Amino acid sequence: LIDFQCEQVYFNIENRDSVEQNIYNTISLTSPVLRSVYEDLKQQNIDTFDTIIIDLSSLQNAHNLDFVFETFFNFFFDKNKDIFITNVSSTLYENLKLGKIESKIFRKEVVNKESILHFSLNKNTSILLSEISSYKSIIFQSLFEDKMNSESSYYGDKEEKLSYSSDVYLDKYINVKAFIEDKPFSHFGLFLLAQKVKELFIKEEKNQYLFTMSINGSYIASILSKLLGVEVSYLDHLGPINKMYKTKLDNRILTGKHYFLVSDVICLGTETKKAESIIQYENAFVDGYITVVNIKTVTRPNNKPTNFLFEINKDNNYIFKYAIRTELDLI
Amino acid sequence: MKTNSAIILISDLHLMSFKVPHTSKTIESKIKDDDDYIECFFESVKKQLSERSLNLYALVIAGDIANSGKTKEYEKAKYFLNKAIEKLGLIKENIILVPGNHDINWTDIDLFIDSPAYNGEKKEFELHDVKFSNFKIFYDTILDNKAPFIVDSSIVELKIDEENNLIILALNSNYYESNCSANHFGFIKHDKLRELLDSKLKHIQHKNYGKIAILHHQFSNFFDKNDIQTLTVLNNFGFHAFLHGHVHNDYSNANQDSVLNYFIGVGSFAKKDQDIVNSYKLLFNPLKSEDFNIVTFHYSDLGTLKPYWQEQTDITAIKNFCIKADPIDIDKIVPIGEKLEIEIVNSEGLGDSYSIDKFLTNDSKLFIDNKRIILDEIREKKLFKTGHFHWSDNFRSHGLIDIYTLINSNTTKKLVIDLFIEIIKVNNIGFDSIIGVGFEGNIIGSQLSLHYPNSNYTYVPNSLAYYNEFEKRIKLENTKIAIIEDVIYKADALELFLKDHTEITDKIEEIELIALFFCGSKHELANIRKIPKVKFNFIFDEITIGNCNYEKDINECPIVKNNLDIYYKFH
Repeated sequence: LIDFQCEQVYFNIENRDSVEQNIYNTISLTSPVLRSVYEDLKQQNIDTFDTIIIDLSSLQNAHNLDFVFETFFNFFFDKNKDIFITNVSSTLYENLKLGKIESKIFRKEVVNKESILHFSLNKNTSILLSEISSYKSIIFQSLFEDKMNSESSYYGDKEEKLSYSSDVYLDKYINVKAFIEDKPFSHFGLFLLAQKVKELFIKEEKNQYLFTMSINGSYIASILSKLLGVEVSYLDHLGPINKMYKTKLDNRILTGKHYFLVSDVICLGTETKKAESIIQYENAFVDGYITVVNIKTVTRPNNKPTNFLFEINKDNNYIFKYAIRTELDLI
Repeated sequence: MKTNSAIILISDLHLMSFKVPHTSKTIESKIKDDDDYIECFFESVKKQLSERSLNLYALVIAGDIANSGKTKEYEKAKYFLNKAIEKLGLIKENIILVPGNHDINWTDIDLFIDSPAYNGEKKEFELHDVKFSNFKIFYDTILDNKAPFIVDSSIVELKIDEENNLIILALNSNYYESNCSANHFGFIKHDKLRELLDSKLKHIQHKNYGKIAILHHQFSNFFDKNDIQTLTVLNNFGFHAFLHGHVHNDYSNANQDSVLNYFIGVGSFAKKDQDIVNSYKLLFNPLKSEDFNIVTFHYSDLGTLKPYWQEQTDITAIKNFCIKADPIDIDKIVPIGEKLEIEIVNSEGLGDSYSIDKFLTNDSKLFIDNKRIILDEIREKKLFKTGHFHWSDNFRSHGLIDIYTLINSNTTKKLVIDLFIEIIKVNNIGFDSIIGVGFEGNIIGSQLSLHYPNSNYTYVPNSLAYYNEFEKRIKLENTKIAIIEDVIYKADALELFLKDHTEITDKIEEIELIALFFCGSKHELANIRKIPKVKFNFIFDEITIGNCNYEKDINECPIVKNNLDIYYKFH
């Protein structure tokens, strides 16, 4: 799966990011990005997969790239891979001169009136074109499940199982740091998370901020702030230690501002509630929560929006076997 | 400036019909063969001036006069301007024009590159003669009494009106613009701008003049950090009001960061597009000479009524701005309490991890400029605190630099990251992993790591006491690491950190420590140097913060005992 918008966004960050600019404003695919993806793929062993999905969502145009794109495309075709090109705007179709490969197109679907197209380039495929757009999240979910299961360890004795923030015992620690340390994977994940939350930030509204209170959260908030062009506030030591400092030095939470709380894991919500009450005490507002992993312990109607990358709930917990216990349970 | 003067601001005329390359889309302008549209505009302007008893001082056009820099388009523009001169009683001196990216002759760049005359030495954007060939002819013909348009200069015109105590600066922000979409952003050669303003605005009385700058791009569409660099230069010379076009909307805002700046945008004057509201702005000063009111007018041709320009009262943008502000004294860059000479980096050899010699290239100026802005910020926002700061059982300092606030703003955070990138480049620091230490180190390090796609990234908390094993643990397979810290005071804190992380010290061959500030004494620096395997790189090492020597018992410290200063207990 190649998500060209993701590649383009990170390329912009690396090379010429503007101050406070929402990186998602990017709509043009540029030649350095296409070339670097191509060069990278040439280095990799691509024999291990059969299908390639080229996702062009949110990119609307490209200039003088038809030749590079054709080389790129032929690279896979020569190696006899199944190719899908999805979310192609009509402008991009023209810019990349996809008409040239018309003869190789097996199926073409027009999704809506904006002429978003999907192409299938192999006759033998059993994949439904309509399914392709959801693949991105499915692929991520399955990789994330593997990561969490291999990196999140079971706790040992009772003392170790005691949660830092709530009076409960936890059987398992969700190790978001392991996800973060896998840099390309976490960048892709945070890109997907940013895509989910970007509507929360109203354009030209200068009064909205990310707020975090744990060191894992500060990494997540830092990357999200870069992607979304919003600023981050934080209070150190709020999370795991049940202690934080706030002196007259701090003028970190300002009256009337709107915050989205960013954390690595929301389980019982103790830490977020603590942060929320501090923010509310300062006459500021919490508009919602952003987290990598949301553990849905109860169904609570009318709650503030929680945007997550991954959720553990009653339907998938058989994979994780996450459990919250007290002395009253058998441990 | 005399009261009751008015400035009409328009932009993005996009003359005339334009076929978007590689598409079937055509963009039309509302200024066509008949004069209905422009007559309606002139009538509206005359009516507004007369109703408010205003004299028209200037007509400002903030770029994108043409659609693709063609002769035919400028013929129409000339026609429009001659009409304006005739109908509004303007004199040519008071027409201010700047080019926009659509005033670039895209087709001729393509043709030139394909011609034998092109030797490939210059990039597309550097072909300034070709880029502005038609705009220059247009500018020099219509404003034949002004200095000729210089194609590769960022300055179009500096108009010093001694009679009205007003300075208008017209800028060309298209240095990098060309036919290539990758170069689509604003850029001003700020060094040249500084030189020009230095030489031209040296008279003391110029300080008190009202000042307005005009450019096509809005600053948020500028290349890299050029927006901050250009704004810093302009602010230093007292320019705080900026008129721009480019974005096709009427959004204006007053931004109080370290200084109050007014960014006044205007929508497209004549581009025909169902998503665009055509507009112009009337800027006038009825009360005091330095205060301007802003009124926006939208073109309305709905229904059966005769088309007209409607005054907008419900726009949430700013409604007034000031063209005179006290210029910042650029010599005052010193944080509270200490006199620093920041031009001389490490002249005494305190931290010879880098030396001034390495910065004698163009980069040096950028590095020193960015350091200057950071120190400015520390002074303006009062981020240098004095008091008694209790960090741990064995370390208390008598000062603190509030890094939180510094990196809380995206603008200064970016400068901080740039300084790290710069020192990595100049000191030739190699690494395959980056480790951010603490919240601040993590925020700086995580964003820094975006610029080094091939390096791994992880982070550790400052103090390990309150974190679980998963959060403390670092997974590292690399042998060369860069540790990112915000402030280093003492050697022993660093030694403790390395002792806590044997997974680093055991495997690693080389550690490059890069800190934003080193605030310790020379004695501490000597101690730090003794730490094996570690190389040190400090961006700021000019500020030394004293330590509390009463390490055993805080109550023995006379500052605490006699309540001489605030005592901040962090530990």
